[in-house]
Amino acid sequence: MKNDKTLLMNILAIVFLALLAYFIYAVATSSDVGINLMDDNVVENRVADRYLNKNVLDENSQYEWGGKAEDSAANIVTAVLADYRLFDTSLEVIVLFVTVMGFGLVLPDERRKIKESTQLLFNWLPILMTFMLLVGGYMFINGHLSPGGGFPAGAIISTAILVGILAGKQTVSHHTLKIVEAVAGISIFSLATLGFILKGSFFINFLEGGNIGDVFSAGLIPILYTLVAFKVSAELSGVYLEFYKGGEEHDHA
Amino acid sequence: MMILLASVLSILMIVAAVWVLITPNILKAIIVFAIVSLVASVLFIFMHAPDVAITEASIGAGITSAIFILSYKRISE
Repeated sequence: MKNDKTLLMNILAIVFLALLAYFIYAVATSSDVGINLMDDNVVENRVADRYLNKNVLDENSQYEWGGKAEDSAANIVTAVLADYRLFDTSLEVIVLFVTVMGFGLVLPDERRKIKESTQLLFNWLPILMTFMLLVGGYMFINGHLSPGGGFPAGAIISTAILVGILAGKQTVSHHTLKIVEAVAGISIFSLATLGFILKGSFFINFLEGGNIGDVFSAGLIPILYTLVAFKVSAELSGVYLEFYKGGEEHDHA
Repeated sequence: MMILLASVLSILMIVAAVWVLITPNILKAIIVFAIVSLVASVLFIFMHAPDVAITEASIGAGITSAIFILSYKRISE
């Protein structure tokens, strides 16, 4: 134990793990909300069966349209991913965050300067970046209607920033990226906690569903996808900037 | 016809993956690795999984190769 701060961090980590273990146990044995993992279950309650019978086009579909938000996402993959498995995406984002922190420790310290490339790439850069940002923005805004979603959209937006660096132009600073990432991460988990306070479970979709196929539908999914896209793009752009000398000094986290 | 195209692409993918393993040039290996990811994303579209295909193309072919090349340049200096 080095000092009091290390002891405090260890105690906090153990408390956090204990809370997590308690909630996993509570979900596994609860009998009033959702599907009990510990009991034998009837086929009608299984998630996979419900989604196999879900059909947007057929009037005689076996799936009953309720007022729930999960019915209003036109893309089935998004409905499963963002309504049932959002923990997966949010923990992926945390893994990416830890990776970005580790990059600065592993790499040797000398960085290369961002130098201007050929005239051709430099002049075409605004057009290329516009197209890439348009594709990325379309992908996270339409994540609940068409294939795509927050994670690939963030990856495409960060590729636009990478093209900027390769052409010799640093379009965003390290400081801005850190602020964007922090704000997006805090917003994701406060929305999750807000769902816990309002409806009683973490990451629940507490907004109205709306019409299937509208841009403003599917409740919380577009908002969360936008936040995930901004967080992922900020993290991946931070990885690229880690290789280059920026305008300002860099501090290892 | 689609089966034939898919088989040709699969054989191309296997050949590229073996090439990645046996080539002594690391830079070439990274580029061919990107080809493996691209062919995989095309095969995902054949299997009616556009979500996975988009993710594979952007992350597997784009970002992974960029980070590999940048790290290779930094380490080989």
